Amino acid sequence: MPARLFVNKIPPQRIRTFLFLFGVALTVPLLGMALLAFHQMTKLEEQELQRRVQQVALDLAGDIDRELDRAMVSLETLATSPFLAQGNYAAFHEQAARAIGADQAGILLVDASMQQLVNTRAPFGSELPPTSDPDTARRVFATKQRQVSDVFVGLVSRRPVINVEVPVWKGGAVHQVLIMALDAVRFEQVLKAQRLEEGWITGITDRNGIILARSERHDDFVGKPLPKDLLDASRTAKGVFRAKSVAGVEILRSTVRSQVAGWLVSATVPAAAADVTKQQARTFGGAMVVTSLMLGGALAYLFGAFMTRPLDAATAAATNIGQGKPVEPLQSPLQEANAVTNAMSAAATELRLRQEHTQFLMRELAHRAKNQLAVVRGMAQQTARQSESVEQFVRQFSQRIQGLAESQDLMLRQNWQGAWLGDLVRAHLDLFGAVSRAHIEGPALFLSADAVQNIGFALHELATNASKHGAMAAPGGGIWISWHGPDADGRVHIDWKERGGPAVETPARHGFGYLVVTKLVAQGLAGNAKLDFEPDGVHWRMDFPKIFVLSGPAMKTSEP
Amino acid sequence: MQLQTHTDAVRLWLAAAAAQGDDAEPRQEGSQQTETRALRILIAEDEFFISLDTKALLQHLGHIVVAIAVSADEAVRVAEKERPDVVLMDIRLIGARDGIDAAAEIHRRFSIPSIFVTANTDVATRTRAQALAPIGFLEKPLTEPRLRAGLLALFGK
Repeated sequence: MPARLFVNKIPPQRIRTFLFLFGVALTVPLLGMALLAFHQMTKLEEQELQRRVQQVALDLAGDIDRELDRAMVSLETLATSPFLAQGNYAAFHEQAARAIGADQAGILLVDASMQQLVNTRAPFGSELPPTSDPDTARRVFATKQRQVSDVFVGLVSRRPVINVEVPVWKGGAVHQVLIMALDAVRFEQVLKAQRLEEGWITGITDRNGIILARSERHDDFVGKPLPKDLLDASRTAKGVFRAKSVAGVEILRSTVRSQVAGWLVSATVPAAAADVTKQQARTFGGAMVVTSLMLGGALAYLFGAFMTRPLDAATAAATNIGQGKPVEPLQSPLQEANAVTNAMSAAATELRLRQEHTQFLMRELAHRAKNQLAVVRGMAQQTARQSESVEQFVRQFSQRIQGLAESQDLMLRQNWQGAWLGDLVRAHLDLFGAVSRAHIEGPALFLSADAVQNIGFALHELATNASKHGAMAAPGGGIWISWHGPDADGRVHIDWKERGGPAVETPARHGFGYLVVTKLVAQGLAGNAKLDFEPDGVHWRMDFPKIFVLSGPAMKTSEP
Repeated sequence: MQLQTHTDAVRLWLAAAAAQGDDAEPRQEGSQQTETRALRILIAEDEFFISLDTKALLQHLGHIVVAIAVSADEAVRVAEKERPDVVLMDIRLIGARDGIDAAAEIHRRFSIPSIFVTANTDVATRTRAQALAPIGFLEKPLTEPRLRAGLLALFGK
């Protein structure tokens, strides 16, 4: 069962997917902050634009008021003209015409019956009609104060004009009204004097909502009413508002009321101008989002490649291990993959060594098995020669095979390397139940396989003899087995002494066992052996060179 | 000193074996069973149960076992002294040198061929042994028919 890591509900993903998500997770807060900053910036810009619109409107209103004020001051100066007091209207006409100078204005004098007495726009003495704007003149009579009219079409000039009117005093009462009729075009000029940026439009609307002047297409709109919605909004709204202009354009508009005339002075900027910044911000923000996502994707792919290629190599290495192929260490940009692959490389090497060792062991085993069969065959032949009956043969042959098996067992446990001498002695005595009556003493010596097999044969023959004729044949008998070495002569000495058995006599004829313990075993080990038939019990001694000792006291290893 | 001991051991062993009277009887039948003349043979084998068995087989076939050696050095030395017709050589012997080594030296110095008797079947060893001609190969455990056939192949003319 695959190991479950902390997340098991998510289906497996490519590493670049996680990298991409990582990138997105990192980018999103930054992106959010950037977009917020953009938003704030746009808002500030819009506020700045609104402030400027308001400022322009305010400035304009000031300009208009100053313009009107100047006109009134001129009028009031004229109103004190002695020609008026004298009723010398001809002289006054001339004085007024000189004072006003320009075409775009005219000076009128109106009496209480609204009859024009003087009009500089007509030659003095012409037949003059009643004023076309009697309301403003009446207000002057009524309030005794200067007044400004709304826009109207002058009867004489036939042009849209506004009147600025001041009282003419006589004996503490308002005797007549002096009027300056100003062409609306003059205000267009005031508006245009502002020199505003492209798209900005300023305008003046009178108290009735009639357009008095406009910085653009003045002639098209002058005298026309402002749309009702726009008028209402202009009258009530504070600050900047969004609306549709008289020309049908979406605008931001700020309106200021003229102090002197009560007109609405407006500055507008196309909403598109404000929106374009917003649009730009949106476009830029969008581009930023798209770019960062694309960049994130590309980087995820790139860094993913840095990781996936080494990881793929590591996977290939693992596959190779499975197929028993060698694995080369990896040198990639990814340390972790290198570590994994190097570990697998080491594992593959180890695996190969083990496999080779196993094959070696198998060959060794095959060899030994065959060799042992040859040994068993020889053992059967030799045993048969000395057997007087089938029963005797079977008994002796079985025992010898068992002895061989004991030696084999010990070696098998040590990977066929050999066996400890102490174990070998005990194993062969145990076959005859003689361990409890044996006194075993000697250093830990690990003998090679050759020595184990040969000494095993000798021990087996000695133990067989002891159980039949020697110390083990009597109740009080014991066996003293000891060894020492390798000594200064480079040899190991083994000593087997039996005591407490039946009295010993030197036999007249020696059997095969005698040959084994005195000659054959020693010969196989380049050793010397001797069997003495001492009266108290047999005494066997053998020595062999230390080349058969793989590990002993001199080698500084100990028996486990 | 050690080598001297070996030679002694072989001689003693031969004396003991002779004392048992093993080889008197088979030699009579041997000449009838083999088509080769009676050969003088050296056995190089470190397992005495095997070498005794081989010796018995050879004697039964009518041949003379001149000695049994347990190491490569001993085999060379005995071959020099006894000049056998052939050496029955086990590949694994006690000591540092193996039977192939000994067979090579014996062939080179005394022109005596060896028949390898071994349970060792791995390819590398076999290749090494086959480099020494003329040779024979006999599988362990040895049987009389195998042994006879092996000797016939070399001396059957």
